Amino acid sequence: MARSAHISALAYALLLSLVLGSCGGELSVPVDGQGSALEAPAHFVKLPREVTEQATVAKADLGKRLFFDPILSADSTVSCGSCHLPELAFTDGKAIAVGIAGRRGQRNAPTLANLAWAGDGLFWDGRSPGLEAQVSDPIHNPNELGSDWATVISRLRGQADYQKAFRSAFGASALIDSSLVKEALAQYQRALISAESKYDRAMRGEAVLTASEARGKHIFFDSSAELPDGECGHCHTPPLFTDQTYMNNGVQEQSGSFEYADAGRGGHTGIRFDNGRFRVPSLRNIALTAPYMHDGRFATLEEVVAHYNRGGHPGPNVDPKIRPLGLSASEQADLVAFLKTLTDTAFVEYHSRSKNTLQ
Amino acid sequence: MKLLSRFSLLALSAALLFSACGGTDDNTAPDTGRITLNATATYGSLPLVMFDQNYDYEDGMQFQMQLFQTYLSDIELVYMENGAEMTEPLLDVALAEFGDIYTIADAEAGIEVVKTDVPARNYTALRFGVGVSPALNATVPPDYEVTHPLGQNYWEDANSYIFFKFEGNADLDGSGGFQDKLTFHVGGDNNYNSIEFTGAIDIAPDGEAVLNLNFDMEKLLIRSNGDYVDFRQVRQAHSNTAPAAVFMGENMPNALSLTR
Ligand code: HEC
Ligand code: HEC
Repeated sequence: MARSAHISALAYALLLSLVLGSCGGELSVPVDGQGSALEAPAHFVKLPREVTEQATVAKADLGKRLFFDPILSADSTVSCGSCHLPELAFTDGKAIAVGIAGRRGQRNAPTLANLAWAGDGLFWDGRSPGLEAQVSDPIHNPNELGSDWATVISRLRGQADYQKAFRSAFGASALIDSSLVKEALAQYQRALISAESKYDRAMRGEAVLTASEARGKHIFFDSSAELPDGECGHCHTPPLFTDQTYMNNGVQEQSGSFEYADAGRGGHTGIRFDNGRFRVPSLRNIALTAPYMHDGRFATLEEVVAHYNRGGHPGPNVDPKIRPLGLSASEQADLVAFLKTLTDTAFVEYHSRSKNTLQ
Repeated sequence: MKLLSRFSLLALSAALLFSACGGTDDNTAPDTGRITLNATATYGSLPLVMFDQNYDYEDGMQFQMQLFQTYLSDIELVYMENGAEMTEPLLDVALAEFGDIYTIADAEAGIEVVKTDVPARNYTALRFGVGVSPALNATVPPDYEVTHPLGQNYWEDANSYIFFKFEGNADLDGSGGFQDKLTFHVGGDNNYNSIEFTGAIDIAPDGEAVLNLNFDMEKLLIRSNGDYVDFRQVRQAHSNTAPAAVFMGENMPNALSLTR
């Protein structure tokens, strides 16, 4: 049996999202709560029309309400928003996330910006096929919300407010169940679109990068013969600043051939050659999402850049583009300055404010 | 989750479109057959697998693969009608990725580039381009949906898609270490190659033709006159003009063979 060219879970996940649901919009002004509101920024890859056409503000608003409601956790103390804070571009500022009863998880909480485009698996290891399916994981994870669907659904059904909100989002006969909760949360998250950083404005000619930021951009994209190549843009490809692949960037030390403390992608696929690979994270709003990497090992962007400049730990599947870069101290500072242009203040402010305006 | 590729989806929608458009009262079975184009990669006679094989290279060097991928554009069959040359388009663009080929069995099976129904005919050639055709290379990812092959691999500073990538790790001194990293990315209209394989491709009604296109990395890296990409001198090229990129771009046609 021949494989298909570029078969990725991406196509499957998108298909799944088409079959399963519709999309919520957030940034546009809700008119009647039913308008379609999910639109790709002009410089982004398009979202499938079937996805955008089905977007409704009402579902996204319901999703927002669920996202920030600790009712989803076993002891009603933790919400999705406890680990994914809008102020920190939907991260938590901790190296390793902490859930109910102070329980520590395994990994660092990633940003949730621009996940509408993330088709080839979610989580650092890509073990979840899409935003709807993903919801079950934090609900059940004992180190996160530590609950179960039966409890969650009976609590939600017990609240007249929620019954009303589900009916206005999903129709008069809607009965609260896990699939509607998943859909609403997915719609809220699809609407978390970040595309208005200084970098974006500079690309449109509406802002000017400082000399240091501009040098950092050249290093990032290997685009100047006068400056060393940083190789960053190969994996952190604009406009999403991720190429949606799984890579080993040499942060972990090998304990044996293809053996790592956290196997990452390999732990999910069972393929030895995937051990030590992690989903390439988006660098949008990266200045707000410290500490860094799947285990939060680096506290600052300076430490991250120093890591890449050293070339990381050796390993057979460490990507060939991870190699000693030879950046001087000032070139490293330039690279950090460029990374800071990826902060989208409007995105962060809008979503921090809007979490308090629940319907 | 290898159920549907974007290409079979595309072919499917094309088929739907065709059947929708062709919905006449005519009840006779359509005179169509099926064509499948597979792609494989080798290093000489060895199947190309990622990581698991050391390939002997020139002058005592060895290397292991980590990635090979390439775009194919304007894939079409050629036929003659009333003395005029006609073409039957199969697919506008595909991305053949070999990055997850880890076993010899997978390498030998290859990658399905396109599988579609075409009018039954005696075709005379297969035509395609390696890389992204100039017309498509003038487009950008925001022109496409996220699942489209051209929704990625764009290289803004060169205004081009990256046509093909060859990445791996080399052992330059026979130490067995494979510490030297190879990254060759080639793009730019100047590195686009139009290819034609002539020879009968007969497709009978309800018949099937299976073609296999092979990419031989040995021939991509080593010219018939003995010139080769010397990893001791150059290990990175991310360019349309760097000598190693141009060398590989020029060499690509030599690296191809078609079996049917
Ligand atoms: C205790 C903290 C915590 C809570 C509560 C939590 N998350 Fe997360 N979230 C994480 C961590 C840690 C990861 C990364 C886990 C991994 O990759 O293995 C993550 C990953 C994700 C991802 C994948 C992002 C990506 O880029 O791959 C999504 C989506 C997500 N969370 C949504 C939610 C939703 C929705 C909820 C509420 C139902 C929620 N999270 C509750 C900590 C948390
Ligand atoms: C080969 C692909 C690749 C290249 C090249 C690359 N990265 Fe990364 N990057 C990754 C992966 C994979 C991770 C996540 C690794 C992990 O957590 O174990 C990552 C993580 C990061 C993070 C932390 C993100 C977060 O949310 O924690 C930053 C910042 C970063 N990279 C910046 C850069 C910079 C700057 C460069 C260029 C000097 C660069 N990267 C080059 C693949 C790459």
